[in-house]
Amino acid sequence: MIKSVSQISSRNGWSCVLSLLIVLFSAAAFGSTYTIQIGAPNGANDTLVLQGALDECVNYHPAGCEIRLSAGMYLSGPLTTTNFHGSIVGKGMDATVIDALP
Amino acid sequence: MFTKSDIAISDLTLRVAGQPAGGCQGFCVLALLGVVGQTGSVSATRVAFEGEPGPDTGFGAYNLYGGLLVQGNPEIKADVQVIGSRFKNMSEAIRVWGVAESRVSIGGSPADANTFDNHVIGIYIPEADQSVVNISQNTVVNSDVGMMIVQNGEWDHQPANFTIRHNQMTVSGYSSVFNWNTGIVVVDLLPANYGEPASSFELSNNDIRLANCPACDGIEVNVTEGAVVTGNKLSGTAVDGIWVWASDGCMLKANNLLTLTSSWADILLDTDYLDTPSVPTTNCTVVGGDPKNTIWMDSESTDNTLVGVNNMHRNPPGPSVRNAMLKKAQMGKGTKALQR
Repeated sequence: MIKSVSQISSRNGWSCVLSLLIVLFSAAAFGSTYTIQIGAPNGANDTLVLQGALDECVNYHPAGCEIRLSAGMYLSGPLTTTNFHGSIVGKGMDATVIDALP
Repeated sequence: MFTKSDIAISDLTLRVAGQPAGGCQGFCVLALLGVVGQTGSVSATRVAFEGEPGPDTGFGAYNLYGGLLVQGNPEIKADVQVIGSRFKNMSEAIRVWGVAESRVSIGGSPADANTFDNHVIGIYIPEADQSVVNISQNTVVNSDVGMMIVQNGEWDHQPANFTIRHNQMTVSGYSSVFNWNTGIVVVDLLPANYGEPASSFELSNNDIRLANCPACDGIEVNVTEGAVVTGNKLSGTAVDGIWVWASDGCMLKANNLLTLTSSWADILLDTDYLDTPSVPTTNCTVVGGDPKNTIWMDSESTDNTLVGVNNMHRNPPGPSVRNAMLKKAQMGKGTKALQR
């Protein structure tokens, strides 16, 4: 099953479109690891998207979860999670960047 | 920050770029990837951890304190693996603090090599209890201390097994934090302070190049029992090559010091005068690869066996060098100051 989610966020006068493409592989068909494919960075602030993916893994797929990032530069504030069991995979050391917003 | 988590991260860059307008209070970011709690695991494969130079914080001039932080509360059972990754521009690239019953592997085979560039400390392990730690095939440059392991017993007092093998380091410059630059430092306070068995340390086949550092050495083996230092190559110019301090039963063998120019001696077997009574270095065996290798023993460090090295029988260096060494050693023993 493939699920696409788009949301509009407004923060500090900035409006941006956060697009999150969630690819759900049926656990029954493909094993126990659930995969979330994150869309391209939005260019402003990707914290909500990244934190949302972590929360999705923890809350609904505690046994195993993979977050796949696209190429590009994500901008993110602090991300925190408890009981995450899974992986975060980019497209390459110099292709996928998460820039911490100080 | 991951709590009670098992995380594998790969094929990306984690970075702190620049500073906000007005700057940061101290470091802008404390750690790019943190794993805390009482259980967990972390692996980083082909990950770049990058900060940038920033204002001087007193513990390095960077906008980022740490790259990978694993910290127990009070201890964490956490396997740690870092391979094929690079670290640049932060005070501490990797800190693994308070792990217990864990396996820590940084590097491994040549294909697993990590690189570390521009840090106060490249790899820092303040405490590992009943754990196996392997640090191999890494390259460290432009750092005050390449690798520092201190068994300080703050949480538990169980020995661990440390192997530091086939790493390459370039030691240069002057450390404003330590007033002394070093390739590898190991300290084990468990036997003396807690009466527990000693941790085992094998430092072998490391290549340490020392240049343009007014106060530096290659390897420091402090307050250990049975440490093995073998097959290492030290080259360039330094105060000394290998400094053994307040240790018992060490084995120094087949280390290549032929292209090292030391202002004091190639190898030191030295006494801890900071404690009362003082603690000498005893029962060590030093087997040199060349009679030109020089060794110096202080007057209290006796019962050592020397083979194929030139015992210098000379006075210690001047007070400025001596005081810098002792100050550095004191910081190593009192590492809580570094941990907070």
